[in-house]
Amino acid sequence: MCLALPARVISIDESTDTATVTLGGVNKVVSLALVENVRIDDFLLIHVGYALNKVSTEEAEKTLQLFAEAGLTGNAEA
Amino acid sequence: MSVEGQLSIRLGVTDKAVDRVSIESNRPVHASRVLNGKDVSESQQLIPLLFAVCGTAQSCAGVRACEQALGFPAAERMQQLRDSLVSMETLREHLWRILLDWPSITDAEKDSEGVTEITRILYDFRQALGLSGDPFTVGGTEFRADSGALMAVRERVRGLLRIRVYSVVPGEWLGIEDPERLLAWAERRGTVAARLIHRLVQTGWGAVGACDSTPLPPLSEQQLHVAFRQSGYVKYPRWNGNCCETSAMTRVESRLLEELKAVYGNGLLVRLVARLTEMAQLAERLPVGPLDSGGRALSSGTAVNPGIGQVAAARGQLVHRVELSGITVCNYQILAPTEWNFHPEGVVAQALSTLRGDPERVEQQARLLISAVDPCVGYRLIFN
Repeated sequence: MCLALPARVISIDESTDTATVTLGGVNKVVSLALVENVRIDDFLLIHVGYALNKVSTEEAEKTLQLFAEAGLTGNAEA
Repeated sequence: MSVEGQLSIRLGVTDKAVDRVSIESNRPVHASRVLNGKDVSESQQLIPLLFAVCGTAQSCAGVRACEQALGFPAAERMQQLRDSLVSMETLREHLWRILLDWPSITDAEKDSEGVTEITRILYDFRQALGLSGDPFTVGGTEFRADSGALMAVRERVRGLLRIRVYSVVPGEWLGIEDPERLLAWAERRGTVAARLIHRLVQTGWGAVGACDSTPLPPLSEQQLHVAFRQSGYVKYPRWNGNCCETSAMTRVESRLLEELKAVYGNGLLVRLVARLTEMAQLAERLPVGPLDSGGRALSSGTAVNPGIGQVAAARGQLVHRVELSGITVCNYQILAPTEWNFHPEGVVAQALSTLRGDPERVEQQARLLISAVDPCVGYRLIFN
């Protein structure tokens, strides 16, 4: 299914328009080409190397909880 | 972080010809089950968060299914407004692929400025619609569209596409009706789209991947209910035994495409031109009128539970089916176009099996074909 996972921004590299995001202790670099005004600690919906949208902390926590309930993730960091 | 799953596409090459293709998917096609037990309102809030890729189309299919199951179809004007939001999302998805994926094929830089601009335009489009709430809730919401602002949005879209893609306004590009004029356009113009079309023709790759595929026909709700009850339908769908294709290419029509198909079949060139054609058509059809603005209105209808919601999403036909008990979801199913197109025996598998040449060439062509059909998930290409 066309799922996208929320992950928290831990650093931003403006020179490459990328951010490092973290989820469940795993870090990943994603492109920020599709979103604007991203800041540290924002939650982004990640899909195939791109951040699609920003979501609120509350929405991110809810989504991660649902993924975990469905057995799609572990107890991921929110 | 691979909750969305992945496609593993394996190619076996013998004597410079692909003789084995295998496509395996570990996409969680039953993830919609997380909505079981939620009430309708909560499920509608969660859908765009969970299924954020083409989130507008997902929300639209979801609310249509719920409205049918409840017997409260939205008013015609709300349906039109939702359709316009889905169209705008489809236009954006096509433009993203063109500005982000196509440059790498022609050794150019990704067009991040164009991507940023369409993202801003999308935001302004929603503002221009004057929505007072979420249109993807049962019955929709009040809205008061601003014709002047809608007109300005359409002009910005046409201007963006003229500069970044067509070199002329989309409507003028749609006036290209024969292959010769298309090739002349591709040769003269310097946009990423023109360069890629020109390169495909120059390299003789226009017909690459041409195969016999069966377009997915329009299916009635009754036919879909029967199909959804079959075991495994949402993972390995078939219709009348066929692994059908559903994409921009199977739904968009033009004289140019007709003539190109006669020469190139459903090969790479036709797939790319279909995307360009649909994007131009969507840009020209963006609403500029008042969309019959007004208050929230529910029509009265007969509940058909389970309900079905269908939407022509960017990558193909998207279907949601929801069974309710009162206002509680007891069974939520989604069939996405990727399951049709990347079926182990589907159109991509067929197209890949036609590839010929040395390994480097086969890999380039395979990646082009996969990108042209466009899975809504990452993939690995493996050579055995």
